[in-house]
Amino acid sequence: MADDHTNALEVRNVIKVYGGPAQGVTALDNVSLDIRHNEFFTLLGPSGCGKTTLLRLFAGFEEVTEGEIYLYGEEIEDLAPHERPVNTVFQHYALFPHMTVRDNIAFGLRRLGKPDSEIEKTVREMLGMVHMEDFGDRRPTQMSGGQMQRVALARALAPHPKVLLLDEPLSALDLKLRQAMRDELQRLQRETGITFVFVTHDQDEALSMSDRIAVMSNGEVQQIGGPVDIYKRPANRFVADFIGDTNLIDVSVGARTRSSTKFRTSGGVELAIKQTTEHAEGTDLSLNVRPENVLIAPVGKGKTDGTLVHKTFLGRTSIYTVQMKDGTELKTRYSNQEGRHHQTIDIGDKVGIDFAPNSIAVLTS
Amino acid sequence: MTATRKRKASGAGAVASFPGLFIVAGLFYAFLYFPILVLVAYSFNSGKRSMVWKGFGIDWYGRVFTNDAILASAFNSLVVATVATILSTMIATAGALALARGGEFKGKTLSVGLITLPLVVPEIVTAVATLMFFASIGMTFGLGNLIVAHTVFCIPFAFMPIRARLEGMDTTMEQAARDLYSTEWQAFRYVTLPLLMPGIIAGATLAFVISLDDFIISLMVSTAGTTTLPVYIYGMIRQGITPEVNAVSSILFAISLALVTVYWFASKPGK
Repeated sequence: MADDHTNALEVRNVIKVYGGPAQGVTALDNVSLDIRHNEFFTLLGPSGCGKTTLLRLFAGFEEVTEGEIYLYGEEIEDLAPHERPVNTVFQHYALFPHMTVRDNIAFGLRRLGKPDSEIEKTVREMLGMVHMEDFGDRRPTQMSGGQMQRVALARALAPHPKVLLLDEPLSALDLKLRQAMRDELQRLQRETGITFVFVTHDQDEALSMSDRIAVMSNGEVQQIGGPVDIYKRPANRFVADFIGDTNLIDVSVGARTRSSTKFRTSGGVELAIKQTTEHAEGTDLSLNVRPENVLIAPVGKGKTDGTLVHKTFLGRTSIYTVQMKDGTELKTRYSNQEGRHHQTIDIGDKVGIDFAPNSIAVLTS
Repeated sequence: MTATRKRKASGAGAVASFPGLFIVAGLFYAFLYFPILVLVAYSFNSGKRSMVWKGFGIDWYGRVFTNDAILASAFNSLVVATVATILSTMIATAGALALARGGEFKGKTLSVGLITLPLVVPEIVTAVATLMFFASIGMTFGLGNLIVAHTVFCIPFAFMPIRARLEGMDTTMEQAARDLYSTEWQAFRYVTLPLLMPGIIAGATLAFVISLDDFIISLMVSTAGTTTLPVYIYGMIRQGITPEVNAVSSILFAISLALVTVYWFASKPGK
């Protein structure tokens, strides 16, 4: 396993254009990224952002228009799919319906010319690993979605690929099963020590499973980082907005002191924040505040005053929407445990609006 | 009010309540199948004349199987149908694969159109054209001529079910095979071909039935010694309809029916 390269995959200046060079559609626009050995790496973004295209370039189902891809130091972008030691778990499983579960799992090993005794042993191991021991002789057509997903995982892991590619594998499952499979995938990644590259549009999935996440949009990588990093320190408005709920306040930089900065919204509300900024007075930018960091305070005790305009009860938490004097609405989230006393506030009541310390991220793009 | 509502709610299903539907439908089926039923029934007539019932018997079937001319033409029909089915199914499979999996190319729609067009070209036109073509290039291979002609007109019939099956097949199956270390050939051999098999069987069956039943083209192309069964039956009728004709027609009908049943099961989706 131990290679000189600590990177499982290296993507260098990859461009992918569908269709002719003249009127083609750019799916990937100069993407470069590294995926480390033995990590759970997620490509996250809305549909059409290029995440699936990138995965298909790894698998060899598409050809790069320009750029290079290295797998443990070896250049692979011109190799045929069967020449790449990577395997894929497909969105709709793509199990072979005319073969038993056992033959499905053995398929890759047979093509690699492994001896029968080894194939049999590996298939048994794989069936055990995904808890499908009793299903070896079944046909995929007689199984539920969750069972098919497990078989698809076993089939892709059986040849022990250097990298496992997962193309939105949980999207066809129902909610309960999806959550159980998250834990299952993390367990499999740790047990096998194989690098997982996971594609999803579901931010919860990405945040809960990944070691690192690449957030993509419009064929470009917007930010790469750990889940906490991406949630707390989004690189730009897109990432802030795409990952979790957030409030984005358009402001310009006002008077600055050594320890605090005044930000003025376009509607004229001034917010004095105990935070320094390197941006010059008059710079237009956005403040990113997560709803859990917007606090409801007594009138006059917050950074500014506002009015409660909406309450949404969500069981464990409640969302309160408050409106500042200039009309900007901010969402604030309280667990119903700690926010008990806020439930007595009625719509239309005046409230103070405060922010948790050091919770505001300044975004320039 | 309630009645109108009810009819509306059942939508198109209300067709069954149209007055006189049973009569019209009954007449339709009668015209379609009554002559065939009569033909089959009279094949069991023990009398000498085909339309005068003299009692039940299978003598005429015995006569069919001892009539060397009928057996020879039946043998011709089987040889032509078998060879033409194998050839046309292979060509149709290759064509369907190229059109469904060969990526985009110029003239793709035109190609599909040109393959399936013979289905609507009047058969007599094809027959005369084929006859003139063989004559002008001086091709006289006997049964070979028939085989070539049958192969050509069977291709669209074999092509359609194969293509339909292929269009309904997800390319991710092939991708999965490629991903699991299959070369293109292995992916075809172990995944595409087995999954395509019901379509191929359906196409082959259809081609076989069409070839076996063909009359016009066979009549034009066949020569003395290469008559096919339908052409021979036509010849028998011209000498007067005997129950022997009924018997041999019934056999042909039974074979076709059996094959169409195979086709129907093979082309059933969701397998």
